[in-house]
This record gives sequence, C-alpha cells and structure tokens, in this order.
Amino acid sequence: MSAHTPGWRRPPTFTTVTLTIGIVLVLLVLPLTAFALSGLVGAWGGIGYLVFAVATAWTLRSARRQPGSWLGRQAVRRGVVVGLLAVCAGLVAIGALPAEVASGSFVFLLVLLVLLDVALGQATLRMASAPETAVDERQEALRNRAHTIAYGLLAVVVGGSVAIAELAGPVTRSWVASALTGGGAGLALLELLFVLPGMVVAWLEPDHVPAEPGTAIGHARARLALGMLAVTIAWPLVWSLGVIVLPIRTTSWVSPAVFAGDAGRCRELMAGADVGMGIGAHIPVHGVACWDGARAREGWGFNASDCLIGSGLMVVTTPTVCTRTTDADGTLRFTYGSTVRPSLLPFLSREVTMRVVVDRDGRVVRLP
Amino acid sequence: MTSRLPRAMVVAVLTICALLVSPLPLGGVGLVPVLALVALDVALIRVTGGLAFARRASLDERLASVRDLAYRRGFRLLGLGVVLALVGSAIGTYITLIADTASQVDGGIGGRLLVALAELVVIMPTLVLAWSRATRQPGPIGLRWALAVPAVAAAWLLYVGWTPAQTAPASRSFSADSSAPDSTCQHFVAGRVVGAGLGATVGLRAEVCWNGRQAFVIGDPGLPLPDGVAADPNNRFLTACDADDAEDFAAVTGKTCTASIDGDGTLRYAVRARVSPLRLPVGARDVAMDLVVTRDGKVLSRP
Repeated sequence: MSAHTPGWRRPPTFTTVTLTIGIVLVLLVLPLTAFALSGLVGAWGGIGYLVFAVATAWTLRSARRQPGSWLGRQAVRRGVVVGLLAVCAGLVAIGALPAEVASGSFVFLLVLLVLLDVALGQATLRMASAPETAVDERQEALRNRAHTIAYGLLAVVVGGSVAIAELAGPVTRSWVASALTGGGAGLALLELLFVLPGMVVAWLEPDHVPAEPGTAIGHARARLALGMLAVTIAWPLVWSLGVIVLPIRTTSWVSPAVFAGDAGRCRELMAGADVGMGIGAHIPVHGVACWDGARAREGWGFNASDCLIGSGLMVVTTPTVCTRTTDADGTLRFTYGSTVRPSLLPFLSREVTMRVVVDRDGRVVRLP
Repeated sequence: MTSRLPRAMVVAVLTICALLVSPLPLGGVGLVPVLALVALDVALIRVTGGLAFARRASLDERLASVRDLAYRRGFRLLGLGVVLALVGSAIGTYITLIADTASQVDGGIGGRLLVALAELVVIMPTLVLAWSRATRQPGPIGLRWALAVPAVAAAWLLYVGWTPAQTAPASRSFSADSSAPDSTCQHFVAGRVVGAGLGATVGLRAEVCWNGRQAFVIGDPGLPLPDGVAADPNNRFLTACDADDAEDFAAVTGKTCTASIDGDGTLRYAVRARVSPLRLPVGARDVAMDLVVTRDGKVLSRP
C-alpha cells in the first residue's frame, strides 16, 4: 500500500459504491422506520442493529491486516469463493421452500454470507473496492482485470438467467419478479453486484508471501473490528434467546364505558402479550363482550380469524389453540394460544396463551 | 465528431433507459426508443473504436489497461444503475397502485425494465469509455453495424408475430371480495401475452356471480344485470374491459368485452382484441379469451 506522497489527494468520500450502499441502506431504513412508527415489535431494535452493522463494516474496512498464513493460500481463498457462490445459490433456491423452513434457512444463510464476506475481505485485503491511493500498480491492474472478468460473468450468468426466465413463460416471469423483489434472489444479486470482483481477485491472486514480523499495523483497530463483528453476529442470537428466556410482558385495557348492543350491554376489551425484545412477537386480543345477566356473548373480535393477527420480527408465530366457549353459568371464555419460534433458533419455542373470561354480569374475570 | 457529442450520446442513452424504467405509457410504440438505443449504441461503439468489445490479444498494454479500468468503473455504475432501475420501477408500481390503475394480471418485472437493464449491461463500459474520451482510433461504421437497426426491427417483428401467445395468471397482490344478494361470486383475472414480454398483454377482469338460476357479471355498467338482481353496477376494480392491458411494445386495438346468458343460465364472457406492432397491420394478431360459467358456478372454460 502506498504512502502519502506529494500530489496525493484524499480519496473522494462519495463514490459510486458508497452511493449505491447509501441507497440500499435508505431502502432498508425507510420501511423499518415506518414499521417502528406503526408500533411493530422490534423495528426500533432493527434500526439500531442496522446502524451497528454499518459501523462494524466501516471499522472492518478501515482496519488493515495481513490476510494471515491460512487465508493467504490460494486454495483456501478459492474455497471461500465456492462457499459464497453456494450461499448465493441457496438464497435463490430458498423461495421454493415452505415458509417456516425458509425463514430459518434464510437467517442461517445470511449469517454465513456475512462470515464468508468478512473472510473474503480479509483474504484480499479488500483490494477490489479499496481507494485508488491505497493500492499499488500491480494491485490496480489485477483488480481492474478482475472487474472485467466479473462484468462478463455477471452479464452472462445473472443477465442471461433473468432474460431467459423473463421470456420463457408466465410462471418463470412471475417467479423472477417475486424472487428479486421479495426473496433471497434479490440479496444474492446485491451480493454479486458488490462482491463478485472481490471473488475474482481471490480466485486469481497467487499465494501471499507471509508478512515480515512486526509489519502488521492497526492491531488495536483490527481487534476492535473483530470484536464488533462478533457482537454483530451474536446480537441476533442473543435477541432470539430473549424470546425464550425473557418474561412475557402483558398489557390489558377494559373500556370504562358500557354501551348497549344487540345482545345486551357491551364493553370493549383489549390485551396484548409481548415476547422477546428486538426479536420477538406481539400477540393481541381485541374485541367486544356483551352480557344480559343470564349469559355473556361475543360482540366481535373473538373468532377463529382473530387468532391469526399475531405479528413479529424474525420469528414464526403459529396459532395452536383458538377456542370460544360459554359455560353452563353463562361465562364466556376465549382462549388464543400461539407458539413463537425464533427464525434463527427454530429448534426453540415459547408458548403464549391469551385468555379472556367474562361472566354473565359483565365482570372481566381474566384478561389476558 | 466533436468532443461533446459522445457525452451527449451517453446522456441520451441514460435518458432513454430512464424513460423505459418510468411508468410513462409508451402507447405501443416502445420499439422506437429501443431502436434509438440500438442506433446510439452503434454510434458509441464506433466513437470508442469498439474498445469495450475488442479481443484482449488485439490490444496493447495501455489500451488493455484503459479497457479494464472502464470495466471496473462500469461494474460499479452498473450496480448503481440496477439499484436505481429497481427503485424507479418500484416507485412506478406504487404510483399506479395509488392512482388505482395497476394491472391485476401478473406481468413479471416487465419487458421495458428488462430492455433498460439489458442495455445498461451491454453498453455500460462503452458509456464509461465515451464519457472519459478514452478511446482508440474510431473506425468507419461497417455494413454489419449499419444494418443493426433494421435487423433488430425485423427480428422484433418476427418475434412478436411468431412466438406463441402465453397465458398470464392473476397477480397475487390483489384480492377482490364482493357479493350480490342470494348469490355466490368469484373474481376472474387472466391475461394473454403476445410477444412474451416484448409485445402486449390483453387482460380479462370480471366478477362473476351465480344464484342457481343464472350466472352473470357485476361491476360493468355496459353489461346489464339480469332482472331482479341488485348489485354494484359500476366497479372497475371488479370488472373492467381495458384495465389490464399492457401495450408498451405493441398496441391493443379494437378490444371488446361482451357477456351473454343463454337459456339454461350459463354465462359466456368473451374478450376479443387485436395486437398490432407499432400500430401497423403488419404482424398483427387476433386475441380471444372466453370465460364460461354455469348457473351453479361450474367453470366450463377459462383463459
């Protein structure tokens, strides 16, 4: 890497790459902010996580390290490239899986993608995207050549696949649109747009000559970067564990006003259970119960369709119980049970049960 | 060529790509901007001496280096272009949803977006070379290149005229729910694609109800309801004749949507149209879609 010499100019802050990344980040932050403002569980946490992930990427980029004897080997680097291509293929194929399996697989592939990208950046010293002032003449020629090869690969493999699928028939045309906009294929495309030249560099570069002792610089920043990376990867896992171990937070509200309905007098009821923090689910109950002194009845909100409105972030919520009964003494009972399963740890789950019990005189015996 | 002309051509190419990505209607003459792109591409390749497409063995070290640098910058700009194109397309879709003019037929990512992306992929390194004036000696436009525009036009006419028509399903982004007294209703949406994304789509959108005595269409004031049936007479979301046509690269003309109920109460809903490339009779194709539903809701025929 070159030192600052007379005539040296600071590299531009806004490059094509930073602009593209900025647009992608805005596209991620805008819907997350909208979700957060509308009260979606974990959306603010998601924004915080995104900010931390960007800071981690920034720190990783600015930490210069030698690739190390292992990642310096061409065979290992080529293995990383093959791994990345396999993950991209997996992301494209994930759309064919059932939603429950796809959710967990997607997060797993995402984590694997991040790890392999970090390894690739380490192995190539992020040569493909480094500022021009940070590479020597040989590296400049190599990365330019790598971009030429990557361009051809992208045009033939991605462009060719999309063109064939688009023109082949309505089914493939529909699949391309849904996969690119809502599936893992869009992420795979972004990965190739940003990282494919780096993969080609990793493939072409010969074995690295081991660095002389004492030449490694920026160890402190590198340690900080690796620490932040570990936190970035562990953070979603810890949040996912929170779904299992944190206490369930419940809220309830009963309207003080009683109004007349078709089935006697009525009262509005609302309750919610929040599971987890950051990653988690919100299980709501909202309805109207009516009574006439002999029997309590449902006004609205205590039906089978009302057991499908749980929401969450990076969890799968599956209704397990949904019953509405009336006892012999006229007491109305509504039970809504749901299993919350973190997408990242799909082998763990938490049961959440919401209960509404209203007696024939309108007393709310239990909520939730 | 003056030094400003290559940059003007680069701006023209990007402007046409932006037009293709935008939701502006092309009125069936989308081939015109495509041919303009082909002409500009030929001129740009000539201005840059075909450097982006030259064999590596034919280049000296300096030109190979210049070409590789153009590919590096082109790769990054392509990434930006793809993201912007997808964002622009999404905004266009959003606008049509807000304006309530979105098609209920699943048309995929659309031929015009595909053309814009293909153009960027093919020509981006040449755009970089032309913009930075890093070229080798321009050569004359040979006969092969000069024939590019008529060749593309002829190939496109053949493609639209000869490829088998495809049936497009309903979009999963919409769901219609309606009712008529004492009747059961079902929403039918389909499209006939002529030219596989580079031609036109003729749409069918009809809300069909049946009551055991007869089947009928609701929502279109041009299709009168049977006596004694009370239902929404004018709802374009449920039934519309022209709402799902896509005519970017070919025009849909003479479209008719008719409904008839025969003696045993079976509904026959028929859509007829003509797809004309460039609004000319050359290569025009007739499209027919029939929907037949019995008085008990049994679907005898659908597109």
